[in-house]
Amino acid sequence: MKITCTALVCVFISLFLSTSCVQAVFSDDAFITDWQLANLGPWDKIIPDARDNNRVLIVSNPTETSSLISSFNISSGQILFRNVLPYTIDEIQLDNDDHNAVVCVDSSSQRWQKFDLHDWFLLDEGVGHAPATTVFSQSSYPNDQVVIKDNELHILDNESSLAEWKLDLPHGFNKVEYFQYQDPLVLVLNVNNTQYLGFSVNGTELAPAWQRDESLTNVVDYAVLDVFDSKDLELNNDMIAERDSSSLLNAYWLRVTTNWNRFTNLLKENHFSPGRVFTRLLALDSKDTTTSNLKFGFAKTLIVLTRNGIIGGLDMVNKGQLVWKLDLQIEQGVKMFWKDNNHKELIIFSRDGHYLTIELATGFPVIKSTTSLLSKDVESVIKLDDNQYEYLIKFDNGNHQLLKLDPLVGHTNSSIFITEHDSNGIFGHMIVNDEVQDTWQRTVKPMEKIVAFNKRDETNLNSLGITLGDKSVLYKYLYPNLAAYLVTNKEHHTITFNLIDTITGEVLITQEHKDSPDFRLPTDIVFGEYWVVYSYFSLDPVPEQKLVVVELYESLTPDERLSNTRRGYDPLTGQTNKLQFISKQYVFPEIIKKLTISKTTNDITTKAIVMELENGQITYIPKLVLNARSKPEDQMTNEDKKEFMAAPYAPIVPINDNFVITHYRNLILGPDSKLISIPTNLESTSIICDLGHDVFCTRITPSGQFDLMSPTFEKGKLLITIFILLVITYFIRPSVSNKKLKSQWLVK
Amino acid sequence: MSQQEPEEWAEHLLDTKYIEKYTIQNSNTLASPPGFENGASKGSVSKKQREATSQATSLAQKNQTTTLQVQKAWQIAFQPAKSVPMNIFMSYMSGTSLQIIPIMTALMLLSGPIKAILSTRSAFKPVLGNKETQSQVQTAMFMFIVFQGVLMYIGYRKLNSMGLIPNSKSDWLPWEEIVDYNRGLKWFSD
Repeated sequence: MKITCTALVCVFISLFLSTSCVQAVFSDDAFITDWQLANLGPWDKIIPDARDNNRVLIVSNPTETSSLISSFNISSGQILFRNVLPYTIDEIQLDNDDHNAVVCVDSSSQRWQKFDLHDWFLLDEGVGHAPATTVFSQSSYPNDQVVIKDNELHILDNESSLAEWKLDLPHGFNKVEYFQYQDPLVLVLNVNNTQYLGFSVNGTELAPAWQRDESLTNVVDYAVLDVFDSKDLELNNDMIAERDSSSLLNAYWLRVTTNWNRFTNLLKENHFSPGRVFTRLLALDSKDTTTSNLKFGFAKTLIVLTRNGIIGGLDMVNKGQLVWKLDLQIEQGVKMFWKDNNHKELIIFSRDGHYLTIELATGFPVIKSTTSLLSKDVESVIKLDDNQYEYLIKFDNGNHQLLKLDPLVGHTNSSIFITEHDSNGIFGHMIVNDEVQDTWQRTVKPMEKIVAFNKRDETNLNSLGITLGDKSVLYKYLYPNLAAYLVTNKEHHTITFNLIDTITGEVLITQEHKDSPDFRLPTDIVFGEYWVVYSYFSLDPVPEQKLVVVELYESLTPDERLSNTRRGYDPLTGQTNKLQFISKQYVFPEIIKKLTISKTTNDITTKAIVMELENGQITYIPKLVLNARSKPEDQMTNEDKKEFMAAPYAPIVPINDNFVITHYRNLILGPDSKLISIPTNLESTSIICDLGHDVFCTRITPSGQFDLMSPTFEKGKLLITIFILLVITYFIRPSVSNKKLKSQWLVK
Repeated sequence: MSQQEPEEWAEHLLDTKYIEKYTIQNSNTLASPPGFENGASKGSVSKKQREATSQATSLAQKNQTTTLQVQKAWQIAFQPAKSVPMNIFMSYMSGTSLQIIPIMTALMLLSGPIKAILSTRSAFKPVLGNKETQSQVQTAMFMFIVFQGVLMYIGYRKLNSMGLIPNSKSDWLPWEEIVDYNRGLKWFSD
């Protein structure tokens, strides 16, 4: 008995040791969770690359002021590289002197640039006469080798003129975009204007080799559709019930009972067999991420509205695969909203004065209705209230229309204030009896321009103040009706930051920068819970990208609260407690194009500032790095150092390579890209997307993945250990009782 | 060897009543050693003298007990004070990081004195009940409580330095109410 026991223990120990030899886990999600749709835009020209028959140069003009030259592998459908030129080109020519150089010419402005064909380095540029060049023969198919007959495409043999290859024309066929007879035979068809189908010879017939959809370029707005699993909905309902329960004790009891029920259900489902439960628990660890994607809210459909009036649904967990697409037949998309909170209907406003209701109940979009608005030329649309189905539409001529989708809903008791802005001013409005009335306006001087504007972010309030190192509190200024904007002044070469009370129009903070800001480079502003971060490029004393943070507090004296819950504040008369602010400037090593704030479900995760850089990369830094209260190290007291994430003031914020979330991708986003953050079910994780010419999405975790079991957590090992302990106790128990009995009988 | 009669004690080894038959000579009846004078063996000394000496000795004895009791009382009172320097040193050395061992020692520093204060009377029981020493013992008791208070203060300081005493505004921040500025007012922006 003794020997068998020892042997068993030895076996278990050796088993345990063998399982605990940890294998390296590579948990980097790069190129797994993130994806990019690299677009070319509608093809304007295709030019064969003389050096390689598989390659072509494609010219497209994604915006009115820029053009894109791409090298494209025509037989595999892969983009080899893309190069954006800051002007539109209509001709590409080969240099007579150097056959490795091409000259891109804009014939209207006579501007030209010479590039090396291999690496696309700029060799020369100028205005006027381009160097002696040969115009590239642009490929078209006037040759009589391709014939279309009765919905069939025939490729004829050169000599016999008999059909060598035949192909049924695809639905929506528009034209033959490109044809090349030899080495290899390539045929590119244009379908529905924006789709390109590549065919190559596969055995004895023409077979589709690749497909590209260029319709989803230039996204103007987006909406997110959550994909649910019914089980998760149940879980969600449990969580909502827990949150809404009257007391802490009730909530606790509810959690205990639901968890117990879940456990008994698990046992019932597995017919009370421990083995089955065990294997099922182990199976949860499987590499299949579908369930976790559903559960964690990563499975979403990103619905994008393009300038051309096309909406497309992109599967966010499936590398942005196009799930569906619908051409709305409108002139230009302006704005898109979910009509209701259930996310079943979309309402889309078009520039030509229409709004469309799109039903998504079946998963595929159906146009339910198209209605005309009062006027054409829609400039902007503001959704007023989630429950009232009210929209305020502004037209180019400055008129407004208040659109009520549900006419039965009467006037609301609350007064509604609106703030609108353009580059010349900020305008306050008020809705009285369904009429839009002007309240105040702040227009800028002739040499001035508003370059960036942002309202205060709507966040869940988790704490009224910031706890300092000595446990005292700095109270945040939480007055909600605030907006921040930047004004450039060309006369005095300044950039001014303003914070405005949007009910009264009172300017609360003005901060002027006289370090010769460069107005050609982008500026942006974001407004978080109680802080503002803005970026601009200055030339004095050395050219540098500046990042300025302004933090708003009730008082800068710790433990002093100036807002009073018992006092009735009236924003209309301006009778509110005024703010105090503190500001600090930082230097960033790259030119920043766009800023956004990471959003999470409950706003508990520390905020990150996501930045789209001018070089086409996206990076982020924690907001805590940009701290307006930070001091140089020698001025920091011991108490200061105790504060959460306290760091001495270091004016240069470096780019950490690990925080470049685009990795080595080359994104082309255009001037009007939208950098957005979408919360997921996991508080730690936020989805970041950049929508523009390309579409790019990834996930970030600004405070680390604190609510996700790490992939190195070995559930199997834990279960095995528990099992071994149970077995050991099972064997040791009789021997212990045996020993007890013997000791009572004084037997050794 | 002829068989001997068994000894008497051996015969009555199991008889429990046997021992009772013996008359035990009390040591009091023995004569005192030479030079030791006691009331019982001083036939030559007069009764008056005897009384006087006995009074003097009982007084001296009483005084001695009083001093002893007071001494003992102060000893008890100073007992917690002895551990003060060590506790100060310990709490200083263990740092302010939140770890279970320093927290436990600090909590013990808080709870120990409370228990000791509540059981002050039992701690002073050996020296209580004497009317003459009552005031001095009470002073000692007071000092005992003071020294326990000092120990408690060390524990409190320790917990406070670890940030476990909710005595600042930040500890009560979640319970503070937020001001609703937008009563009956809604604001939207583009």
